Order: sequence, then C-alpha cells, then structure tokens
Amino acid sequence: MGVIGAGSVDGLTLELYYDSTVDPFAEPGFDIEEVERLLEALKARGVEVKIVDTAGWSREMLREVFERACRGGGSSRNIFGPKRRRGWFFGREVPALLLIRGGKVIDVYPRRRDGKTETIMSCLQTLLRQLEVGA
Amino acid sequence: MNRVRKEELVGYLERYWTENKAKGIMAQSLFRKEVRSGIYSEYRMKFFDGCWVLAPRRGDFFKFRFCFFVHPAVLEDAPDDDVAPEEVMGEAEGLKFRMVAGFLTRAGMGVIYAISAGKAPLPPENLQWFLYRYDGERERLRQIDAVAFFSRWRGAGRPGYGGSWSTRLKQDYLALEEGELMSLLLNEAFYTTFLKGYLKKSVSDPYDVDGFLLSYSTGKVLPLEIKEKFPAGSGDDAFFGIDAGRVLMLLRLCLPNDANAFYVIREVSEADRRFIDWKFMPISEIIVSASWNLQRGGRGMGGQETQTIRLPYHGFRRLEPPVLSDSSLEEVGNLPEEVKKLAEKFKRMLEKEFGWV
Repeated sequence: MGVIGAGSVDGLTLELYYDSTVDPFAEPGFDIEEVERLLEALKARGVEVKIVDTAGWSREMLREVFERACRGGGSSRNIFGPKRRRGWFFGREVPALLLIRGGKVIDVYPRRRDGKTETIMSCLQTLLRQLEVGA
Repeated sequence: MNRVRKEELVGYLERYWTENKAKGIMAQSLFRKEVRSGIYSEYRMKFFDGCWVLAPRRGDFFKFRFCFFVHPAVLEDAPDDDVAPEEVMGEAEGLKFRMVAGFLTRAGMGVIYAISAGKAPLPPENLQWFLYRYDGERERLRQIDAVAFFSRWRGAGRPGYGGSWSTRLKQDYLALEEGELMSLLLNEAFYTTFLKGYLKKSVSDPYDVDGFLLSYSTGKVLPLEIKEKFPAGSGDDAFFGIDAGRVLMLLRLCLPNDANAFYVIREVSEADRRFIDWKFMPISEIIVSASWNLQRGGRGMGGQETQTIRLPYHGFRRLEPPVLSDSSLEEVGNLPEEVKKLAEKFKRMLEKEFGWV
C-alpha cells in the first residue's frame, strides 16, 4: 500500500506549508532543499504542487489551515502540538504537507503510523516511487 | 534512584557548563536542598526559584528586560492559553509566583513563564516550549506566540558549551535528586537550546536571579544571589570578591520596590572545597562596605570578563535560620531605610574614631 494507495496521482494536489524564517524542529525532520527537489520531480510527473511560505502568518491563520487539514484526513495526534495545543506548531515549527483530492484533504504529513513517524520527505519519496513504478 | 537517568542528565549539564560554572550552580542547588529539607526547611514556604533576566540586543536594551521563569518539569500537555498560576504550579508555588511576578512587574520588567510540554525531556533539543506572559492586571498567565515574540529580538546568537568536569564534581551532581537535575537541565535548555540554539537569538546583558525570599506578613520580596566562594587575603584584610554587575542587577530590581536583597555565600575551603558555612550580606551593607576600585574577575554569563568588588570577609554573617523569619526580613527588608541607618551608624563611628564627639 502506498501513500495514497494504488499508485494513482490523478487529481492529486500537494500543499506544503512552511515558514522560511523559522527553523523547523529537529523532530520529525525536515530539509527544505530536499523537499523542494522532490516536489519538483513530482510536479514534472503531473502532480499539482503548491508551496506556501507562512512567514509572517499569525497563529490564527495557520490554525485555519490546520482545522481544514483535520476536517479532511485528520492529522495525527500530537504531531503538531500537545493535546490542548493541537496544531500550535502546524506549518511553522513543524512544516506540514497536505495531500488533497477533489478539494478535500485526504492526508497530512508528518504523521504517526504504528508508533512511527512518517515524514514529509518519506511521503514524497514514496509518491515518487509509486509514480515511477506506475509509469 | 535511577542512576542511569541521573548520569544521562548530568551528561547533558556537562555539555552546557564549564567546571567553574557548574560549581557555582551547585551552590544554588545545595541551598535549595537546605531550604526544602535541611537547616532552612522551617522557612521553605518563603523561597521561590530564580529566573533568567534577558533583554533583546539593541541600544536601549535596558528598557526592555524580561524575567523568564522555567517550569521545573516537562508537562504532559501545555496549559490553557489563559490560566491562573496555581493551575500550572500548584497552590503554594502559584501564590509565591504572584508575589515575585508583582515585584518584578513593579521593577518595570516583563515576566514570562516558560513551559516545556508534550515531548520527552531528552534530548533537550527536542523539547517544545510554550511561553506565558504574566498579566499583572488580571494576575494570570496568558500564552504568547514565542516565535512572534522573539522575532522582535534582533541578532544572531549561538549557544556556548561547557567541557569536561572533574570526577568529584560529577559525583556531587549525581548526589542531587533527579527532580533537581531535571529542573537544572530545563532551565539551561530554555536558554541554550531554545533561545540561543533553536531561535538563534542574541541577548543583551544576560543575567539571572538565583532565588527570591518572601515575607508573607509584610509582602516583601528579597532577591537572592547564591555563590560558592572562599575568601582571598587573610586576617583583617580577608575579603570575598563579588561580580560588580550582580550588585547593579540586584539594585535594578530592588530600588523600584524599596526592597533589600541578600548575597548568600556557601563558604568553602580553598584547598579542597570543604563546606565551612552559609554566610550572607544584605545588599544595603554591600553598598556601604564595597570597595570602589574594581578588580578583574572571572567570566560572566555572556562569556565577557567581569569586574569584582571586594567585600570584607568579616562583614559577612552566618546565615542562621531565623534570618529568614518575617520579623528579620521586616527589619532589613527596606533598602533605602537600611542604607540610611548604616550611614548614620558610620557617621557616629567616624566621630568617635576621630574624637569629634
């Protein structure tokens, strides 16, 4: 099973939210240069990509995007902040990647699965592999 | 006791502090221990932990000083965005915090309470910090956006690191309780890994206050400076050298409040750091007995060279437990009054010494 299942990227949009003025937390790990390289490669294979620099955004603005993310695929518990501050670090200290299809968020990275953290980079690498296998 | 865990914590502290710095901080920990469960435990309700005093790097930094208190443990979850101090610290500590925060607010300082929550404490680089400013009007803690707050702090700082400690010093630290080690680590992690390492902020004139003494019956708050020292010189000329900047910092906090402060020394022998006694001198006495010609001292918190004031060794008194009683604090608690009393006393001594009366 891949990131989005069955190797299909039809109608898939990737939205990356990160703040170019703030260092991401060491965990879960985020390298903007590597992420941009992977996004470029996906774009070249027909995936719609949107990179949003959240520098200067208020927490409220980030919160709106986080809530949208939660309404769709839902974000993993505590990845973007502890229980009473869920989403506090979303799109800033913890950059976020939204997988969107048909206008709905179907998944959010980084995410926790089976006790392990799956990073944005690992998601993009998997997507790329799925596309290459499917090509 | 979890020895492995303690060794891990001490290992991190060793990464942050030089041997000399660690020795200095040990004196504070030992004093806290005496307050919690030792000779001063009768007055443990009157002690509150200290804070960082930091300012952004700018020409008029002295107008924008902030006192950062660091919660001594990692919380499972961050508190709500608007909470009473008691909800975070418990009833007793919350009450003490209100008194101290009020004192600092009256001194024209911003008061911020830093909490790490939601992550395991080690490694400290992974801690997630939540900042709450003290709203003096409502006497509540209100969450602020740390990134937005510090975006107004210019400059690029980088953390300083320690070195290898002697075996004896490591053993001394391993003898501390795990909670104390964690508290020390969090306090340092806030400054070194979060503010300097993660946010990369440079600060002006960094200092800290080692603690506060509270007098509930009078409402007085007295800042504390705690150091381990042995005297230099001998006989009548014996003296303790103290950092001149510390005195200025304490005066900056005390004068707007008419408050006194205590300089506490854990006196040790020069040869083997054997404990001799706890001693103290109120800052009112420091002002009137300090030498004015400064001497070169050690390194300060920012790594800069410090200037040292000579204080007469015999001017320091034993810190007997009753010194911390309300009646004692009331007697010496008002700085201007104390300095006036001492000046009057010196006037009489001068007249007597030279036969003018």
